[in-house]
Amino acid sequence: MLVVDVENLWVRYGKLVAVRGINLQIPRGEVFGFIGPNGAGKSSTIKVLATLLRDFMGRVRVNGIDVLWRPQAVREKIGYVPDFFGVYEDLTVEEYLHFFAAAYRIERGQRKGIIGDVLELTDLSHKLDAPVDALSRGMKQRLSLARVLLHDPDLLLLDEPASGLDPRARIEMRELLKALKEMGKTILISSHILHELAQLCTRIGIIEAGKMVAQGSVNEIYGQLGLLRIVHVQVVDMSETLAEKIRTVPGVESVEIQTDRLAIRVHEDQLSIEDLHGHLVACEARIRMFQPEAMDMETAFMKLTEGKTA
Amino acid sequence: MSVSKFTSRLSPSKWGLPLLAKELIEQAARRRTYVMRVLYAVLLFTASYLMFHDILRVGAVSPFASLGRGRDMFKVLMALQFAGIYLFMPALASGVLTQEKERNSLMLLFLTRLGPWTIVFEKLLGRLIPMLCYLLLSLPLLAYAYTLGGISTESLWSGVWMLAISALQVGALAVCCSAWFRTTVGAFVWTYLFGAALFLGPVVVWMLLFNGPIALSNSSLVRLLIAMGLIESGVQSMSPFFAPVHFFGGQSATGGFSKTLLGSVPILFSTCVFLVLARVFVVRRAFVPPRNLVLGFFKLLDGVFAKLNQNRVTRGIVLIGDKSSLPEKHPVAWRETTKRSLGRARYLFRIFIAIEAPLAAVCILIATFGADSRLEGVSLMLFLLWIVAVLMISVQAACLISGERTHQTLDVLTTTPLTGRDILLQKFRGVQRLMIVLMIPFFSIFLFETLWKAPFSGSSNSGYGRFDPPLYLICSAVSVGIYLPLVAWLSFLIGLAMKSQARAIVAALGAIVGWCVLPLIFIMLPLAILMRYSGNSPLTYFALLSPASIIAVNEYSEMTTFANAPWLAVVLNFLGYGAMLALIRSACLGNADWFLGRADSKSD
Repeated sequence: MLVVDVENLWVRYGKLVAVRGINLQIPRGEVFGFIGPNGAGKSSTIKVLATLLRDFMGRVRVNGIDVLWRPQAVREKIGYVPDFFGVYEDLTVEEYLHFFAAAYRIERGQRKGIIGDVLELTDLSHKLDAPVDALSRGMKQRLSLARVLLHDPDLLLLDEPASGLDPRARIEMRELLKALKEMGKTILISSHILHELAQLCTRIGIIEAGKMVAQGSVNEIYGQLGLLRIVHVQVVDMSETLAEKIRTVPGVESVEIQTDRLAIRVHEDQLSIEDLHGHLVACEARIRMFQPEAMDMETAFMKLTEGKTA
Repeated sequence: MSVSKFTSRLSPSKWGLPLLAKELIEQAARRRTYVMRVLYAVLLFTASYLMFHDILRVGAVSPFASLGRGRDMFKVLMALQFAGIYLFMPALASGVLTQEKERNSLMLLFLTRLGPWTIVFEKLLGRLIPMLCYLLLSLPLLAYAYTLGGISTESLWSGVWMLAISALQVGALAVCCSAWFRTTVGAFVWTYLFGAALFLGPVVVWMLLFNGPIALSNSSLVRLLIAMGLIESGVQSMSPFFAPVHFFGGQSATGGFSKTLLGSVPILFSTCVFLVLARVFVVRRAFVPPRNLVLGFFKLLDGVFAKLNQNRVTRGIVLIGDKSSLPEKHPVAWRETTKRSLGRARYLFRIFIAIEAPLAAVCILIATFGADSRLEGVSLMLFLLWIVAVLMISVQAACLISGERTHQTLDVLTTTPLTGRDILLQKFRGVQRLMIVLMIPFFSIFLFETLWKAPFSGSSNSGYGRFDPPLYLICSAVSVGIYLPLVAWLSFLIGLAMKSQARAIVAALGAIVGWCVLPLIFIMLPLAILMRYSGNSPLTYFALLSPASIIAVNEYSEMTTFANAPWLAVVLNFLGYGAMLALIRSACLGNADWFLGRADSKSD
């Protein structure tokens, strides 16, 4: 069952086209990471799903409910955390959560228990009576997450939840999101912290200038890109002859002799890292170090995008 | 030398005034600057044309007949220009420093070589120059008036001097408020409030004293001081904002320049005080966090009362304690009525006392001393109450949604399952409470006036011969019952459409003032000139296009001017404005989702 189903989404702000025909399907329990440069159309897409935009074209459904036709029903199913805090600073943490519990029409008798649960999950139980404006940025962000968990929504829409947080708060936020993932929540998250998304998300979509340029699991995206893996090798008798021998191995793109090592570029789909090691041994190379360079989202992102905005 | 070279030499940045250059460039790039200038010119020229109509008409028949009439035109022009300064300058200048604070850019200015004095002066100059541009718009009119004769060179220079220093004075007050307050909204509202207090305060005190104790005083010293005009002069010198208006309203306009300089002493003195305060505040209050001053004041009072309560007699007893309530069914209404300064019952009661107590004091003063006075003091209090009530309600209503936008909480609220209509109605609950509280002082005045005037009703010997108690009471009660919600819903509607609080407040107050004033200028005045109708003509009904008309006419018991059919005027007026209220309310609620910027339910 698809929780998010977006078909051919177009969003325009006057003459500016922010989103150009995006297609996106997110099944239940999936954590989908939305990556893109500033102005790429991430927030616009999330706002459409959060029922905060009226003027768009295309079909957008949440849990099978059309966002354009039944936004009120969609609001019951979603929890939205914007890229700013959006907290009432004149309330205490308890008042703030009770405020939204009432807004989500949670039964009065259940509110205290639910609020206790979400505060425990977000590690804010000790701040129950604290004024919201006295919380740190990280705490405010966790409070925002606590808010959207009150009504146990089917879909969490998190727009840059780690933006502006210090390293500790960022790690705490990541752990919290992992916990939500383990609880089986469907999450659509946009972020600039790419390696965190790679760890957390089951699938990733890379958007640029309003278009989805790649979509799939992390490995699928690497595959789509056909990225070359670089393997750094230190051998005892480094010579041009050895390099020549290695270049003849099928799947090896190039071999570069550096000061203390060889940098071998391989097509992973043609030659696995383990087989390369075997070939090096067969070439009688006495290996001192064998280190495949980590494939990361940043590489993929830079390769896929050109920094264009809508 | 080419024109571009010449203009580049005139650039303020060349003179070491980078902040002024930046301000002027920013303003020049805004469309709003030109729209406002055109609007000012249209208002000035139309009002002048209507006021000069008689002179122009006479001049068309016989040019010699209008000779020497320039003096009258000059005085009218001066009055219009002063009105322009007092109305426009606070709006222009009150945001100069608060905008820097809101954008967190004031600290960057402090890191440059610009000192606090430089910042204050350049900011002030950055707003004075546009104001002087507005004043220059009257140059053709002034030239025309001058050609008709009757204006001495000294009068002309006195006028120019007084206009310039008045603009400087109001600008300095606005910059001072801007330096003190954290938000543009606070600076804007308080600049007008302080300005009004300085403008009207001493005059009101004078009127009350003159109608009360002074008038009845048998002291020969007091009588001597009045005869010498010393008390009046003292009051005027305490009222620096009133000085120029008084100067050009009276005969002094033709006096010498030395008299002008003497008259400008209170203006210049107050300007210096405002500038020094601005210099002090711009540094001391550069990084204060945004705080609700009214709420802070009320909390301070809470502490004082709690301390006072700890004595041998009361021993800290609390009759009605604060309920530590949490929202149950209507969370937005709960926040509006328990967390906002103008929504909490306890604080509203204090506001009620703060308004009602002086009113009661004035009524008692008049009842005690002013045996046969025409209750001018009470009428003045009523008009002041209208101004305060409209200001409070309009600001509060305009900020309801625009405040959520400014604080970035609207998106979070609109993704909850609350319907748009529900959100708006709940947001409005605090304003409703405020309106109810403000209605009580109104009714106090209405009842006092009715009780006071009713015995004289129908008597030709008193000034209240035309006073009709049922008509007065009904008209007054309905005006409060319809106008206050109308102000609230109109401001709410404007606040819904605006992105920032400051814009919402300016637009709402501008709309209300425009609605009250423009029909009188653009419809009633031309009708009065062109049709030359008598006071009781049916054309008087056009005055009802301004909602303020009926309040003034009713207060002065002149309802018979509506073609001797006052009840018809009352019915027509309030049916019209009642319909308008219903229309605005339904426009807000019917398009709530659209205004809130979210997908509106098509089949939900």
